[in-house]
Amino acid sequence: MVSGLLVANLVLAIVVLAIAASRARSSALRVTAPATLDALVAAAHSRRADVAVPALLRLRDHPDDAVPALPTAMALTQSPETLVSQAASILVQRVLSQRPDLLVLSSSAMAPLARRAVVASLPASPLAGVASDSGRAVVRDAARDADARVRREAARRLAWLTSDRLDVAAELAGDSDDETRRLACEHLAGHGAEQSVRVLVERLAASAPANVRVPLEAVARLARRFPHALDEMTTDAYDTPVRTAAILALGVTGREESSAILRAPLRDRASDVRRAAARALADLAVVAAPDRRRAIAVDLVRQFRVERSASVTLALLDAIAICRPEDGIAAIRARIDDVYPAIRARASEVLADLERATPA
Amino acid sequence: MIVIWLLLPVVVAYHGLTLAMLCGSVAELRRQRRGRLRDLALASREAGALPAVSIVVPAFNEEATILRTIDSLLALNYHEYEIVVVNDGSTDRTADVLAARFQLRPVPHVGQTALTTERVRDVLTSGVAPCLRVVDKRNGGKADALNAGINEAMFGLVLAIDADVVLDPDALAHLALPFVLSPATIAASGIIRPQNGCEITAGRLTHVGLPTRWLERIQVLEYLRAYGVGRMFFNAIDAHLIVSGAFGLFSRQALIDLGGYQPHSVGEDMELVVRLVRAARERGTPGRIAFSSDALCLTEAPHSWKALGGQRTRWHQGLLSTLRLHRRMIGRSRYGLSGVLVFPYFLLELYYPVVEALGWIVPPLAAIAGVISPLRMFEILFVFAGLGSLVSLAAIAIDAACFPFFTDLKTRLILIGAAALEHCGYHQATIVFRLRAFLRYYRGLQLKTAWQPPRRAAAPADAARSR
Repeated sequence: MVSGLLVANLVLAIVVLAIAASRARSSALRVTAPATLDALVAAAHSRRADVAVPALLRLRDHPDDAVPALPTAMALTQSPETLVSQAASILVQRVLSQRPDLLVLSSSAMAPLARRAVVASLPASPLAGVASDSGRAVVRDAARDADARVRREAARRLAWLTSDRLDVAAELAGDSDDETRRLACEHLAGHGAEQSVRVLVERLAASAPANVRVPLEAVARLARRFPHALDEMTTDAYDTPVRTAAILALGVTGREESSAILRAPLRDRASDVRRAAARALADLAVVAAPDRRRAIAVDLVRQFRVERSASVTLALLDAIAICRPEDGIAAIRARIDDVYPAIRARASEVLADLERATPA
Repeated sequence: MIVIWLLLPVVVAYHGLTLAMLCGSVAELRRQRRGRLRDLALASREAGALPAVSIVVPAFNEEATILRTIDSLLALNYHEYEIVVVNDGSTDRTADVLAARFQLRPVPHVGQTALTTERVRDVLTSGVAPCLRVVDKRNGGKADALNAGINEAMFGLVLAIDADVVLDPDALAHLALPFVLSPATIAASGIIRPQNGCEITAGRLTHVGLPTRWLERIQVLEYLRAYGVGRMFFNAIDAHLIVSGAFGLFSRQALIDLGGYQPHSVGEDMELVVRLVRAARERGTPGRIAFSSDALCLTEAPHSWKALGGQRTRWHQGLLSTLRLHRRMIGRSRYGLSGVLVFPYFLLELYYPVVEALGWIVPPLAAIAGVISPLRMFEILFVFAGLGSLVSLAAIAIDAACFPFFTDLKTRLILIGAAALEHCGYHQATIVFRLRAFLRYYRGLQLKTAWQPPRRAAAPADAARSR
C-alpha cells in the first residue's frame, strides 16, 4: 500500500512539475515587448517590471527611433523598481550617445541615475564636434555631483576638461568613493604634470593600509616621467606621513639610482621613515641588477647592525632576505637572540635562507 | 517498529519541506526570467554600468588545471577586471607553468595589508596578460591564500573562485548586476555545475555532455538538485546563507571590515557568509546576499570514491563547525528569516544523515528479527528512496524547463536513471561520509584545513573521457 501510494504520488508530481516547468518556459518566451514605438513607450510606463524592462531594452536597440522616448526614460530612472530604473538609465545613455546634441536638454536631469547616464553617454575622450562645450560642462558638473555614481563617470571622462583638468582630477583623487579615487589617480598617473606627483603622494599618505595600491602605483608611474619629483619629498622638510609615502613610492618606481637617495632616510630619527626606507630598498632590490643589489645590501646590513626599533628590524630582515648579502649571515647571527620573539623567528628564517643560498 | 514509526514522520517532513522549497524555487526562477535579469545584466555591461572586479584564484598544487582556469578568466566578456592568482606555497610545478606561459616578472610588492596572512614572497606581473598578477606566498591554507588575494586586490568587488573552475564568459556580468541594483548587496553567487563530461577548449565550454561513470553522473544530479532547490528558494525569501567558495562575488570592504576568511576553518566559505549576515544584522547595516541563476561556473567533481568521501566529510564538518560557531543565530528573529528558517533547516540538514542511517539500517534488522515482514521492509526502504527520487526528478524537470544547459533527451533520461541509481549504494555511502564528519569533529580530529583538492584528472583526459 505504501509503495503503491508513493508510486502514484511520484507519477503525479512528475506530471504536475513537467506541466509547471513547460509553462514557465512558454511564459518566459511569451514575455516579448510590443513592436511599435508608441506601444513600447506605453509598455515602458507599466508598473510591472516584466513589461517595462523588456520594452526599455528593446527601445535601446533602436536608439534613433527612441529619441521621443527620452523624457519617459529620464522619468523612469526615478522608478522605485530598480530593474526599471536601471533599464531606463541604459536607454538614456544609449540615446544620448547617438544624439549628443540632446545633452543640453538633459543636463538638468534630476535623478542620480539619469545624471549618471548623461555623463556616461559621452565617450572617454572628446571628439571634435558640436557637443564638446556642452560635454565639458556636463563632466565639470558631474565631478561635483552629490552622487558617487555620477562622480565616478566624471572621473572616467576627465580628458574632456581643459585648463581645470588637473585641479578636478586632484579633487577627485581625494573623493570619498573608492572607485572615483582610483579613476582620478589613474588619470593623474597617465596625464598628470610634475606638481601632480605631490597630489598623489599626499593622497597616498592619507590612504588606509588596505587601499594603498592604487595611489602607490599611480605615483610611481608618474614619478618615472618626472624622475626627481619625489627626491625632495623624502627630506625632513616634509611631514613624516608625506616623507614615508614619497619613500615608498620611490621604491616602487624601480629606478635603481633612487637607492642613493634612500640612504639618508634609512638613518633618519623617525622609525616610520627608516621602516619605509628599508621597504623601498627591498622593492628596488627586487628589480635591481646584481651589483646595485650588493650596494643596497651594504646599506641594509650596516643599518641592521645598529637598529633598535623592532618594526624597522623586521623590515630590514625582509629586505636582507631579498638582497642575500654574504655578510648578512654574520650580522643576523649576532642578533639571533634578540629580545623580541618576532625578530628571533624571522631572523632564523632569513638565516636559514641565506645559508642555503650561500655555497659552502 | 517504534523506531521506524518515529523516523517516518521526520523523513516525510524533511522531504515535504524540500518539495515546498522547490515550489518557491520555481516562483523565484519565474521572477528572475520575467524581470529579464539576463538581458539587463548584458545591457548594463555594454553600457559600462557594472563595477570593476578583482578575481582571486587561490592555488595549491594546481599545475594540471591552473592554465585552463586562467584561460577561461582571460576569455571573460567583461569590461574591467584583474586576475590575482595566489600560489599558496605549491610543491608541484604550479609556479613554473604560470611563469612559463605568462612570462611572469617580479614587481615591487606594494604591501597593501588589510588582512594578516602568511608571508608574501613575491608579486609577479605578466608580460603577455596585463590584467594578471601572481602572488607567491608561504603555505597557509585556502583561507589564508584568499585573504592574501583580497589584500592585493585593487577593485571594490572581489570574486573568489577555485583554481579548477571554468566560468561562463558572461558570468561576471550576471554576478555584478545585483550590486548595482541594490547597494545593500554584499555578496552574490551563481549556479555551479560539474564540468565532468564537458569539453573545454581554450578556457571555453565547447561541448556539453555527461560523464560516462555513474559516480560522476550522480554528482551532476546532486549539483542540479542543490542549486535548483535550496539556493533558489533562499534567494526567493531573501535569506541566502551560502556562497560557494568555488564561485562568490563579495564587497571587498565588507570582507576587510570582518577580518576576511577565517584561517584554519574547515568550511571557510559558509562560515564567512554566515558571519557577514550576522554582523550586518547585529550592526543594523544592510547586508544582502544575492543569487543569480544566470551566472554559470563549471567545477570539477571528484572522480573517485576516496576523493568524494574526503570532500563530503569536509563539507559536513564545515556545516557542523559553522552551526556550532554561530549557534546563537538559531531560531532568533533578530537575524530575520536566516535565523528563524534557514538556520533551523541547516540544523535539520546537519543531523538528517543520522535519521537516514537509522532508516536504512533498522528495517532490515527488524525484518531479520521477524518484527516486520520482508515485504514491509522493502516498502519502508522504498519510501526512503522514493521520496529522495521525487525531489531529484522535480529538480530535473525544473532544470529542463528553465536552463538550456542539457538540451538532449538522452541526457535527461540518464539523469532520471541517476535519480533511481543514487539510492543503490551512492547515497548510503554519502551518509557514511557525513557521519564520519561527526566522529572526526567530536573526537577532535580536525581535517587538514590547508588544502584538500579532490584528485583531479588533467583536462585532456577529461575531455577524452567525455567523448
